[in-house]
Amino acid sequence: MNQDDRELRNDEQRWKALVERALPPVPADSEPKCDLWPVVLARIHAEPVTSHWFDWALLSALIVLVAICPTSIPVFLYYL
Amino acid sequence: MPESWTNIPDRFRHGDPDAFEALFREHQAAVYRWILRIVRNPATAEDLMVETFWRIHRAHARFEPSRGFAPWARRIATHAALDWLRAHGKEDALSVELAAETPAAPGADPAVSAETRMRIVQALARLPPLLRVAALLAVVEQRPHKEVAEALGISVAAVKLRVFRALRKLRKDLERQGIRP
Repeated sequence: MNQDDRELRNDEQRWKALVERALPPVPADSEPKCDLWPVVLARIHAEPVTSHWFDWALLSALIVLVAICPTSIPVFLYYL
Repeated sequence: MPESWTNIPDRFRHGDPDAFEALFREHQAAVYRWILRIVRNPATAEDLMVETFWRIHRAHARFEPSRGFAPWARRIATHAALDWLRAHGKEDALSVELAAETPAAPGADPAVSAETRMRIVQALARLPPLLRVAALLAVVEQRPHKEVAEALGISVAAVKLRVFRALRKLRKDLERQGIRP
């Protein structure tokens, strides 16, 4: 390791040390404030997201448009 | 119940709700702390913990018990936290809420002024999410590079590179503001 590499490494270590000193790590005993199991269960049993009829209509219109006018594909790809 | 489902991870993999609850009870605190290390905000960490266990539940069939539940959960939690960081832009809760708490943060070096601390926090918040997560976990939290690599789904060398790039960006940002170590 030459002088420049050593200086670069020392510099990196100094910045690392500054960040470490400025931000303390999260305490090892941190825990959620309340029991989140009921919230997890509610999330799991929540109604699955159903697509609206409008989404299907839009998709169908796009497919029809692409079938009629294939040159529009790059335009759609650009905006995706 | 088949004999091969004798332990909790196997039962979870086959969709047993009791096994899922047992794993939740055992790992919830560790998953919460892992997320908190990334987002640095207790309320957000709680929301993301729920999101993480919902994703874990959905992916139960893909779980490989031989590789352990904790690393798998950390990986899912890291991705949930990354999604959140991406969705909330550069100036998110890390810069706003942590900056407000940082001056009084227990464990912080009193030799570093509150102003400097706030600028470092804000500079961290301006990092791209992938670099920020690597820097927070490896530098601030001092987690082993191997653990960070597993959580991010990358190699140890890639973690070191991300930490190096994060520190370089931080340095440039802070030097522009006249802050030096």
